[in-house]
Amino acid sequence: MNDTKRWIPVREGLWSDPSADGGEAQLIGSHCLTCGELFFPRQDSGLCSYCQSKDLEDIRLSSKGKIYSYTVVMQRPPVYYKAEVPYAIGFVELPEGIRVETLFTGCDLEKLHVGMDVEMVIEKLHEDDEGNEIVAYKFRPVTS
Amino acid sequence: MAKRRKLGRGVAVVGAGMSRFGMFRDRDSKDLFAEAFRDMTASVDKGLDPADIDALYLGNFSNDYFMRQSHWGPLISDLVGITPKPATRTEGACASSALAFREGVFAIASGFYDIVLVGGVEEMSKRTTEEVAEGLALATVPYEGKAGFTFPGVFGAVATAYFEKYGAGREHLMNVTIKSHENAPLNPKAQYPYTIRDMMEAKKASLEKRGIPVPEWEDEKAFLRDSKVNPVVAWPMHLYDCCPISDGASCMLLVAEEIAKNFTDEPVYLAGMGQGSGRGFHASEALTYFEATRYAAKEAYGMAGMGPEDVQFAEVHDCFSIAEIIHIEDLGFFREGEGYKAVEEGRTRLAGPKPINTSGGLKCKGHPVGATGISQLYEVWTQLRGKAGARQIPNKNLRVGAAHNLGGTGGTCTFTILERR
Ligand SMILES: [Zn+2]
Repeated sequence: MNDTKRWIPVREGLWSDPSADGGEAQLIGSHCLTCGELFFPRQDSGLCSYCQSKDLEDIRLSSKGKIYSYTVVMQRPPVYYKAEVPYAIGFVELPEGIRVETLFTGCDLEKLHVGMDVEMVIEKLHEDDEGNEIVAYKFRPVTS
Repeated sequence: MAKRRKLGRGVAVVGAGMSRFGMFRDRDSKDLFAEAFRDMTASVDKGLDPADIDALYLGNFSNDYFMRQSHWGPLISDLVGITPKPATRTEGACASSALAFREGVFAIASGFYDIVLVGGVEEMSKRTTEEVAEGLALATVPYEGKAGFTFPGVFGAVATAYFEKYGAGREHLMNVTIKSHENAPLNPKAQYPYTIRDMMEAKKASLEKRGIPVPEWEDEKAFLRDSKVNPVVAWPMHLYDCCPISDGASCMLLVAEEIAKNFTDEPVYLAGMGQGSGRGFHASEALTYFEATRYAAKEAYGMAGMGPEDVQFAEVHDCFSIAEIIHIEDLGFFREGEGYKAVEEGRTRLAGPKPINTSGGLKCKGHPVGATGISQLYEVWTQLRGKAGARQIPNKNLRVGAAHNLGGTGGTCTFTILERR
């Protein structure tokens, strides 16, 4: 039943699907047309949680940013995190001025530092029981 | 200017008790609450007839998950023999019983009840560490768990941001741990009543006994730097930066101010209280403060007509060492970015000018989450009444103390100021 194995996003609607609309996968946020606030993940409620406006639009967020903060987790977390340990997580600040919680990938964990230039990738988190790949967005250091 | 909060009538604390905190294989929530209740009734100077209690407010985060049993309000009112008086459960993650305290205050201040029992209970140690972490993760944003966000992870990222902004480092976190462990042996209810030096000496003795070479730890910090005894959980959070898994219960007797003297000649009064809610870190302006704590503090100070300088000592929510440093700044005890220096200079030690976590804090006293908020107030009450024994703050004019309780990663924060008049 190999042909039924798929990529399954860890959560729907976090990023745009290049196979559906072409181009690169990009994180999808919300932009409040009334107060200008940005949100990630997008406000599925359709309500701005700063000014209560319903005038929200979906926006594609920049795929490059800088590490605002991070940690390297050495202890296996609860059952629903099934990927490798240790791993690094933290916050990336995008040029739009929004901060995104993310896993980090593609580098020696020791080399991570605040202010590091990073870019978004879609990558496997783990496989589920049927062998489907559960995927998530992550950020990795920009290789010039 | 924020609206100044006030009570319809004053509220006094006339009794307080807590169980010993710890990991108890052979004790359950009822047993622990019974211990806290007996401790409380014994503390009411002129005695309490439980039949006079009008209502119970009980904080519990997640015994539903931990013990597969919910509906703890009536279970506990039945236990202490006050049915059919109303029993109401409150939930605010690790701040659950601070919310019970507030509900009790509102009920009395409104004039509806005169005598209210407030308490908290949590039984966590029958689960594995992984299960507890899963239970605690119920207090975070839903999908983040799958993507690896854990409580130590979030606070690890908070510490990294704080270090970057203010130039602090891991050694400053150790100062918090060492200070809390100095107080712990003086608290007979603490889960870990040992100093770091005690633990270091015990480790040496055990290694020697087993014929294993003993490392040359020249002091407590050297011991804490040894990754064999103090491994990384989520950098820079190490094992000794994290509070333990605990079982325990706490309770307090609140009464209308005008009848307080029927119970004791030395009531402790509620001076101010505040509660805030927070968005979570993804939406915070910075990871280096808690918006909800600042809001709770502002409300409490406003209501009390006091400032941070008036609060002589406090219990703060040190679920992780970095949290204590940030809270003492958010509460205004020290300037932003200077909390770590204050700890380093010994200002928050028992004999320092602003003692913090004289109980040993969550780190050493234990953190049975639903019981924590009222156990903090228990410590403040005990100190204000001069009954803290070996850990009594050496200040003859102790008059005002406060407790800060935090739920989740700052989703719920409370700050409560008690005073002796
Ligand atoms: Zn808005």
